[in-house]
Amino acid sequence: MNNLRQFLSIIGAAVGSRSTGLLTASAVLGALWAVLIPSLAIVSPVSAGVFMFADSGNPDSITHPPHYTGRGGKIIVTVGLSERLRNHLEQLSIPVQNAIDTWNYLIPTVRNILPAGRSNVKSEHIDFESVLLHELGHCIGLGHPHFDQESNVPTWNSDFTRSTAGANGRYDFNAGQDGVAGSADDQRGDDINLHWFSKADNNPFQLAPVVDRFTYGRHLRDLPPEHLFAANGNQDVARLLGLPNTEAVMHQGIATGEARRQLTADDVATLRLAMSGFDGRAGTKDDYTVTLIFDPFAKSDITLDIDRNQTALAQCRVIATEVRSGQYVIDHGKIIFNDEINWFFNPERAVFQPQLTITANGQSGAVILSRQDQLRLEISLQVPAVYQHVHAAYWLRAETPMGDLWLSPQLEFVTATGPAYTGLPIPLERFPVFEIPVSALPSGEYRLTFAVSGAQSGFPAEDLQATVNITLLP
Amino acid sequence: MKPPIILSVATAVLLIADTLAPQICITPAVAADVTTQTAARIAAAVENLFTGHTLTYAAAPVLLRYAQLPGGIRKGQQVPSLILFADGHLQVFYPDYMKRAGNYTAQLNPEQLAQLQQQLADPALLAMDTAAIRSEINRRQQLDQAVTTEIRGTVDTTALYLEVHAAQTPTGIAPLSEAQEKIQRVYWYGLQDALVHYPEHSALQQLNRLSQTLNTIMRQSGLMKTHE
Repeated sequence: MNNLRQFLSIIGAAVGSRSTGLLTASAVLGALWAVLIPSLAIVSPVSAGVFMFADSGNPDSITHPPHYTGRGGKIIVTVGLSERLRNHLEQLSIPVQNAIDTWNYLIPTVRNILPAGRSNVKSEHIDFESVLLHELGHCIGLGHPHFDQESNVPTWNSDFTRSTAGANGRYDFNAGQDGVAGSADDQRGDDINLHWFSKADNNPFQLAPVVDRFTYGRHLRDLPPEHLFAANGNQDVARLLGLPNTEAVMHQGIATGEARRQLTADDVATLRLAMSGFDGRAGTKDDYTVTLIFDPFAKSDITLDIDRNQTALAQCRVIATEVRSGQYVIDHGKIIFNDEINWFFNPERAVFQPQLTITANGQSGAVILSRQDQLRLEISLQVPAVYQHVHAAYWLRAETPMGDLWLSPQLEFVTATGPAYTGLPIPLERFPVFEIPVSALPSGEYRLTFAVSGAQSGFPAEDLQATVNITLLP
Repeated sequence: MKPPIILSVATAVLLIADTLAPQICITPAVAADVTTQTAARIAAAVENLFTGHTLTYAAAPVLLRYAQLPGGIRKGQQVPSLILFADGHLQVFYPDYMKRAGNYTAQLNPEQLAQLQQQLADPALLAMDTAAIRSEINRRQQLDQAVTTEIRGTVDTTALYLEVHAAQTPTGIAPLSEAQEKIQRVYWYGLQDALVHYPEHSALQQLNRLSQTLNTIMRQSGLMKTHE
């Protein structure tokens, strides 16, 4: 305890004697945290969508990716190129790999639409990666959550949640009091819902901790109180929930210059619902994970092709087998792109892992300092775009000759374990934690670890951490 | 070996012969409830398909209008389209996201025009009962589904909109009924898949042939670009 008081007094004294710049930096970070913390209320991760082949005869059916047999484990699904497309491998490799990784990481995001002018997509071009991401979703079993072009429903009603017509043989479209098609207060008469929703909140932009047939439902009797119909992940519903520029990837339609390269909770939940296996219960032996692998030259499960006679932007053809009642497994998928489109091929590799560093006097790893040196501790954190709206917790632990200490939200080292910050990730670029003369600290070995972990589902499950070992010579 | 079935996420079919209620993308069930407001929305939706055409042509009346609605494009985006006039003059528009972006004109020669008019005047096409066709396709799908475990689906494909001004087709080829003298409108999603289910249907075949002819016209090398 005395050692602790000593350490804190040293740090406190050191902080008090720090440069104005350092104090300002801490104050700015503290203020930033204070501003961001209230915004937690509007942001959180994932409800599920609709499966391919779900229809009036089979409303509860679920479609699984290729190779699922009912045995749990990891499923590998290969994505390849037709001979015609192999000549374009150089252009395609980054956007294809990005789209594949996006499905592999299954990170639910919000604000996933970058409109023209805010994305890197050239004007008068269509983003290949965004279209591929959508089509890959079909190839692993996902359908459109709304009334798409093939539904034969007027365009002004196309945002209503996908359903069958019910006993009266007609769709009952009434957007309810909020006037937003596809929201929870829609009055849909006897229409039979096809959209899987979270029983807890029917929010397509929230992901339940567990996704299976017990936490997600299709029957309207499972809706939360006051809700009248399953909400889908269209842009108007997102706006209604305070989330601008947000839309499920499986919602049909993209505009010129627009990028939609990240999944929403609705997309993630749909696949995770399938991943709960035939028994529909998460945590059982038949659960599986899906890993897409890009193998341009192999005979693949999903083939990308291009055709100048194609008139769609891109269309997806799948062949599936009903392996048991109401359970389909995709055998093969083919995505055909229109060669007459001005495609934009994203040249930027998507990043999915946050990068963090901790340095002492600009050095990482092991650092040896003498009594006359200064000690400047800095941390950095690069947050990929996919995590910008997913809560995280920051931790800074100091293993010292006086014992283990943790940086508190007040930026003081204390014995109580806890994060220094919890909330939306804040990118840090060489953020100065402290700068003090080495002579103010007892000599010995110090090990400081900066770690970031998921405060909620969505951020990487494993803690990410970086450590610097400091030896203070006597 | 059980035959595979083609799931028709792609069977949306609509033919509206009533010029007072030109409709696009609408079910028969909804069609029964067409209100003035709905009719106005439908008319606006149809006209939106042709907003890219910036050229005027007054030398002859319109014979047909044709648009391709690419699956996957966001609502409100322009789409490729064709306007053909009764004297063979034609205008083609490609939106800015296509390699051929712009407005084009061309002229069908008399022989090409006559062949096309003959196709347009086909009684099977003009008398097409799309609701009945769709119903039959659905019935066949269900029968197929009962005997096979394999299922196929195509999504995000193209819908076509075709508007034939029947009065401009040659009456000598086939007698026109009163209804056929008006404007015939067809909206169809997934024509190829529909043909797989109902290959023998003459109107579907004719629509497919016509669509191929119009696509060829839109891609012909003789198009002259007139507007960026």
